[in-house]
Amino acid sequence: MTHIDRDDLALIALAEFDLTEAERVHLSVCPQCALELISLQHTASVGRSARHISLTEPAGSVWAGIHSTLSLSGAVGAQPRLRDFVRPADAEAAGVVYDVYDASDNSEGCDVSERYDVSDGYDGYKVSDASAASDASEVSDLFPGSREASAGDPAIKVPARPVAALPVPVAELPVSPSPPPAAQPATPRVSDSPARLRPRRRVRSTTRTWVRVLIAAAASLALLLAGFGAARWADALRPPATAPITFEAQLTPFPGWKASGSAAVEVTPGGHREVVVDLTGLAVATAAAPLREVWLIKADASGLISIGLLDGNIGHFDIPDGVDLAQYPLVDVSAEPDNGNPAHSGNSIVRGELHAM
Amino acid sequence: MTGNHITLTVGRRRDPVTVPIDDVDHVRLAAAFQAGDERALAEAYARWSSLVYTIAVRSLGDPGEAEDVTQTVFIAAWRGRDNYNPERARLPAWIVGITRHTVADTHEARSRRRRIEQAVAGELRTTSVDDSVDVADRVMFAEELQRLPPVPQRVMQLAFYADLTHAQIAAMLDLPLGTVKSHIRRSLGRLRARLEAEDDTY
Repeated sequence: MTHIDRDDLALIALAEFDLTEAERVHLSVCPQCALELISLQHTASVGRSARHISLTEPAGSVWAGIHSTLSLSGAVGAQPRLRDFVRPADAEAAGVVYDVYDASDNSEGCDVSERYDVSDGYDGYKVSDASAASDASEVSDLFPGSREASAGDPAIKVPARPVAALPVPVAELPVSPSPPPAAQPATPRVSDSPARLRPRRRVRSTTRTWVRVLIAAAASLALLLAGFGAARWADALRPPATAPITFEAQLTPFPGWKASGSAAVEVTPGGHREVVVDLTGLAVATAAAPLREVWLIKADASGLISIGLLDGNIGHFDIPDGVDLAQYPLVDVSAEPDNGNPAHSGNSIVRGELHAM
Repeated sequence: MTGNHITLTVGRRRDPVTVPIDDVDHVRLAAAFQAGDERALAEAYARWSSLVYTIAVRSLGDPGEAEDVTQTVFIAAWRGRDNYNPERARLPAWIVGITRHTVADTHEARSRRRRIEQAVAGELRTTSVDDSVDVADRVMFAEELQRLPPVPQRVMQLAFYADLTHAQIAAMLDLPLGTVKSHIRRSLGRLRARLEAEDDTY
């Protein structure tokens, strides 16, 4: 029995894909996939309805009441403020932990019981180690002012909504210092997979609460696009923030694999970095491990970052801003089963160390 | 690095406070909280009093009652910290669980009061409370969305709120299609795990 592709199931839950006849039949006989879909649909509907939630602080008297009821000491007498508990190292470390999904995300597999299995034995790869803090200082050295820019640059803020009384959405589109869509190299990108050419299912007839939200979103989309456009334009005017340093690595095979190749770091016109992976002799994917995932790994393998899936022999992968390649010098391509587990399978095909050119 | 931070609204003034929250922090904080470190209670309050208060005020529609609930929740969490099991739930999920119970108790007390009032005055009073979808889930979801790394966060916001297809998102963000699909699958799974992660041991 072939389960429904997990990527597709997520898109079905978002009502982007309609079910094929085969999927419909499968859902009727596979409680695992059916439960998974129901659960994802619930998550999606909660998500759609969370659009305008903004968090509000309680009045200062609340802490005073807690403090006196519990007879706490004077050391914690002042109203606790977030800034008192945020160490600079934490702030930057949070930026380093990029796209590294923790083990509790292990919830996408078809076997529903798998969701509760958080002990996969890949803890060694998680970036949740003390060295993240040491990265942090280096990152902040490399990118001075990056936090300030993200926190308060008025030029990149989404304009205020016309109706001042509207709550400020927590989920406001982040507009800055992310990679600008315009700034890309001339080389064509290898797409991961062909788009599924099924019609979108626009379920307007079902009166879900978020349908109205979607209509409102259409209006704000223009606003979002304007924000993106402004960010692009501003970025195009700015010279690249970092010098175009490039790195290169020879990728050599692990035992049992015949592939080899190279990885090169390019700096895009917008000042962002991407790894170009170019493999030759890549073995045909097996059914057990059909995916090829590209990783940046610390020299001592104490942390790793997934940067994407490789389709074919050549691929371009964005390096998240803030990742220090000196800390993550290894480029690794692994064979991954399509089981939804975001952790590294431990089955590497090729690996190589980046060197500055 | 906008993605790892929450923007808090304080009163009428929008006061952006950068709050990095990662899982390493949670482990350290949960341990100190269990050990009875007052400072951990203060930190938990600093991090999640907004979450608790927002759930309460949206559910009850009354800032005064929501403040009482917030106070009750943190007092109960501190006094009941021996019941907290970090292997079963993250600290904020446990606190949200306490919040649900306290809000439910407040609703119950309120309707009891109202029945008495109506019996006395013989009139109906309507209140506007936000119960379309579970309020706690929505508030938690909004917070969790903010905790996604920037790229998947942007992908999910475009998917949810701009109603773009994954192909449109890929074109807009100039990401490979497969990367966008992968972000959607993983992020949706992660958001779901957080919604389901709540412990009910309180």
